[in-house]
Amino acid sequence: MRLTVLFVLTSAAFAQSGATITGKVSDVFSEAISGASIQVKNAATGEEYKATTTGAGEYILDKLPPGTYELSATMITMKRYVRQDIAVQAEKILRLDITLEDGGQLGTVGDGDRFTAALRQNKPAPPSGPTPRMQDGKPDLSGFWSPAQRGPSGQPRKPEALVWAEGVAKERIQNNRRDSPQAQCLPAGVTTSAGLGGKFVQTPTLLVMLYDNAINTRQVFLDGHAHPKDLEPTWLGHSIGHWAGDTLVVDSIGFNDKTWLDFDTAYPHTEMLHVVERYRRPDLGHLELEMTIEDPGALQKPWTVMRVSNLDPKDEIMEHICTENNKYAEHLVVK
Amino acid sequence: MRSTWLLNRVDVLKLVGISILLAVGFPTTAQWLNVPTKGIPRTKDGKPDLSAPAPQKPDGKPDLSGVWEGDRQNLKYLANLAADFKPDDFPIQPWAEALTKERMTGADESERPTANCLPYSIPVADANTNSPLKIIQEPDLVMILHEFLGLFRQIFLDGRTLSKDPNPTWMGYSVGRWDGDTLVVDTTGFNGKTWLDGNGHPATDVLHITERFRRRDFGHLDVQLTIDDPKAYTKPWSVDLAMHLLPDTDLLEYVCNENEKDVKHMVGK
Repeated sequence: MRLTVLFVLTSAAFAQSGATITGKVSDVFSEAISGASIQVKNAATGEEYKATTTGAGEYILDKLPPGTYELSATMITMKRYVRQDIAVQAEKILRLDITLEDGGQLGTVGDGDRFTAALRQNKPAPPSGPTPRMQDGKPDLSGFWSPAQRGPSGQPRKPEALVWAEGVAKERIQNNRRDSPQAQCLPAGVTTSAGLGGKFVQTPTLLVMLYDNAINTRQVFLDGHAHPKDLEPTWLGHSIGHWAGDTLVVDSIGFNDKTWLDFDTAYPHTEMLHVVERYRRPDLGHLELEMTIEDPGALQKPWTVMRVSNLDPKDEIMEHICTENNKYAEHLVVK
Repeated sequence: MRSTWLLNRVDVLKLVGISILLAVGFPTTAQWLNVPTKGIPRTKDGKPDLSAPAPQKPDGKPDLSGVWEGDRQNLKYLANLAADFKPDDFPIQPWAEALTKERMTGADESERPTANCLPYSIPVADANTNSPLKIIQEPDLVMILHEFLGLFRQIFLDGRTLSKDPNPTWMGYSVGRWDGDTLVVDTTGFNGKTWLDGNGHPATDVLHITERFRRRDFGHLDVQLTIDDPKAYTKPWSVDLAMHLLPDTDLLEYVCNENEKDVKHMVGK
């Protein structure tokens, strides 16, 4: 590594007249991170320059006009790094080594804000147009929905939970979320998956949600039948939907207590979990979700989450066989 | 429960025995197995009339939608998809025959995909007498949801063609078209890892499966499967499977990775 740096110093010093920022990107265990995106933005001109780290975690941004820059480093599953007010001078080399923290997210779709934000960065704007409708006039929610953004700010990022549930969430986070269902190729659960992208296919009597995630399909029955009595607890529960105007109200019960309310906050729930999802398709390109999570066994009061997904007409659901080659869990380290 | 059984035993007798046990012991206990399906023609006593004519979509095409399960007569094909062939007539490449024979000894049992919570093959799915599938038919898309592992297939009917360079997958990439009353589904894009049947007949990445689905009447769906895989078989070969409708029920949740106990009991030689 030292050799690499020397090489950078010499080549930069002799061959280039601009400023150079170089360094190594690693994780908290000092392991090099390859493929991280490094971007600097000139504070005066707004010009952006980009680089990607090599297999050894090294990056070089050269021929930069002298000035003051904001540098950001992003890598899927890691927390974004931002540093401002970096001053560089012509023909000088600034070394800036960067440590990225684990974002605490699995590398699968739907596992947290930063990852979904990264996925969204290169997506074009969704198509515009009126809400598509079924023959009976109800909105048709069918389409491939890309991972959602949080809805309006100001909503609570975590539930007000009972003491035991707070303790469980804290312990899970301290354990690096190692015991999450996803890490063992088990279903992430409705509250984690809802609004986080997938393909919807709607018929007059059924809404099917296909996910490229462990347990790939969820059925929401729209044919008017009620929840069966004495439901045996399952990972995804039992979901029925009805229309309230143009809003599809999906009511789900019958859950086991093994999923997490979501991956980031790591809150547990009990078999008393009751989820109400309200879906609206205000136009062709957007799907809004307001989800109320109720569980008197774990939460002090219901928790409402809002998410918005964009239609991605060019994308398609992929086969995702989690069990095949699952290497994630064995690499997770308990703190 | 019917959903916890994996097709991972070579022994046909055992296979039949388990299925009888399941058939006798469990169907009335499972949870949402008693949801009346709307739109099913019924006899005077309220029972589903499974010999009524096949339903049609508004566009006049047969509607294949419903929850389906393989007929008992498929059992021999579940064990050996080539059961109708005399050994000398079966167009199998020597390496594939040798591999099948080795798998039939049980030596490779721990490598059986379904024993590792990995997907079953399309022939096993279509023949399966214990793990139903649900067909949802829309004009441009037919979806097949499988109880087993929560797998799904999408069959595109929007006129697209098969990719020349498909992503290798377990369940492949499928396009369909109507040939009269028959839905013809062509599937390629396989990963070469699947076992076509219980005996372990192999397939490779050039596998091309053609399924011809015909809903004979309300309660019966015939499927003719054609296996075309020149790396493993010297010419295409076909098998006729039959499915029956499971009225007033739906798929159950099937989470294989939970409490998986099969692999450690598999003993290799």
